[in-house]
Amino acid sequence: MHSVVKLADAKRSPKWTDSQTESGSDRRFSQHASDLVLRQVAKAYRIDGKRLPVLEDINLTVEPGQFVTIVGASGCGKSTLLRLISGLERDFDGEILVSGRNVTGPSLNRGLIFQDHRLFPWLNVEDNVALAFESRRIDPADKRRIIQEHLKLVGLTGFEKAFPYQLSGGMAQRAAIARALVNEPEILLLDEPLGAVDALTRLYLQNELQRIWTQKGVTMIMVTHDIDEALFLGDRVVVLQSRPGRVRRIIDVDLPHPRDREDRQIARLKKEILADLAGEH
Amino acid sequence: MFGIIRKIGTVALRLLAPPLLLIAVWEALCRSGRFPDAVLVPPEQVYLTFIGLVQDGELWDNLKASGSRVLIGFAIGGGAGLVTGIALGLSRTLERYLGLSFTVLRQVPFIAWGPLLIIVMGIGEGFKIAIIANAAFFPMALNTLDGVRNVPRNYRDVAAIFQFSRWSLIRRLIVPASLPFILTGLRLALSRSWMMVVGAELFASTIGIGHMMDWAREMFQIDVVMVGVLLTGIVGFLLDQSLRLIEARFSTWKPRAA
Repeated sequence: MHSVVKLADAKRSPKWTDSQTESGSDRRFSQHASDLVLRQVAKAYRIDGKRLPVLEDINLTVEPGQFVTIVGASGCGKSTLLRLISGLERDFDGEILVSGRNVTGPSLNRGLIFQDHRLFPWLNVEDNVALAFESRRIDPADKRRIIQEHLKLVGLTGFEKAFPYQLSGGMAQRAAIARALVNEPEILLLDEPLGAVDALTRLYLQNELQRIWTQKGVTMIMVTHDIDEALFLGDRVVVLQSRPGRVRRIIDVDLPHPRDREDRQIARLKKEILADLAGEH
Repeated sequence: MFGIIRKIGTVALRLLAPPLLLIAVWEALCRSGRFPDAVLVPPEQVYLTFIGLVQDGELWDNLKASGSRVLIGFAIGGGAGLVTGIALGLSRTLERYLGLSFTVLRQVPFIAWGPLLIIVMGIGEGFKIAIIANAAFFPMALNTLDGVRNVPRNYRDVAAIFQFSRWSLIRRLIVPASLPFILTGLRLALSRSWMMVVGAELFASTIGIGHMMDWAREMFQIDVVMVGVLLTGIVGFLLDQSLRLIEARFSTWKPRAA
């Protein structure tokens, strides 16, 4: 026992070796265990021949099973960032690695939930959820079972045959969450999913999201402009500054879930983030 | 309760008043004696001729002949229009190559294709079907193209996220999302087809509603011509209405406009 500690100590003593081994092990770590790594990610649009940078120098590592929230003023490119990670936008600079592999397009391993539910209006809830299986071969009985399970998970049992226009905003968003989860993605990207529902429903759905996150063990990356929401849910809160979007800072929220919304540490962090964001205006 | 009865009464009046008025004017003109009976046949005579044509089966035979031409031509032209509309709507490359030709061709009035088609195909059954198919093609293709272009980008993101194949994209998204446009195209195509069959039969035919009218004109049987005119209108109206019903049936997912 003693000698092991000594060995470790001995290994750590020369400073340069230390940093080398550490960075070496870091990289191995990120390639095997870490779900998502963004390196030097930048994105610019061309408008009338002019280059308009949207995101610059985004570096972020997300551990598997983490809940990361991203806050920032509107126009800071938070939605764009999710579109890049999802693979919907392929034209960007830098690297986005999922389990060490470059993202080159959408994958069923990465789900995306939008602010609007984007259920197809001509399909009922069940058929909308089934869209997620469109590119997979799957036994119809399994398909039905999985859909049932997920509708139960989001509390929509009994609404299988309902059409989107018959659902409230919150219910439609829950159906969209079920649709994003049936393929058991390891990463779920949420683009202001609760931005369009009323305040009470939002609080309720935040708890629901947390419950699903705990139950499924899925990595969640959620963009929001609601700082309370970001602090209530996130293990880490990424604060983006705008034009172009850059990481202002990353806050680790070391509080167990589920959290007390009135917690003093949360209140303090909220103040800091607000000050950060107000600083740019 | 009375409200409903009154409403039905109002609708019936609105629908029936113009044709009744027309018949009244027609009858009045006949009685005025300004036109010889042979030129302006009185309504009653037209009705009796109609009954006669129905009873000896002639009308039915002609209607059947015209109807089957419409169906075949419409199926070919409408089908081709649907495929063309979807292909042009989905493929930028295809649109770059074909867009211009397509725009020029659609400016040609469909009756103007007649002489060309006669030279190529003669005046047989093939010609009639070709000219109907051509009339059905453009409204179908244009409306479908509009529909495909109007599919919201948001839904395409969903299809991309779930990695739809091209076929899935067409079947699950493009066609259902453009259905209102496609059905409008279908309705226009069908009514053009019906107009076209009568026109084509006037050109050259031995059977069909158009032929019946042409032959009656030569025989100076104006009553038969009148029956043809009215029947063409009524059939066209019924086709249009039944497709409107189908349109309503297939848009149940839409919230009803209150």
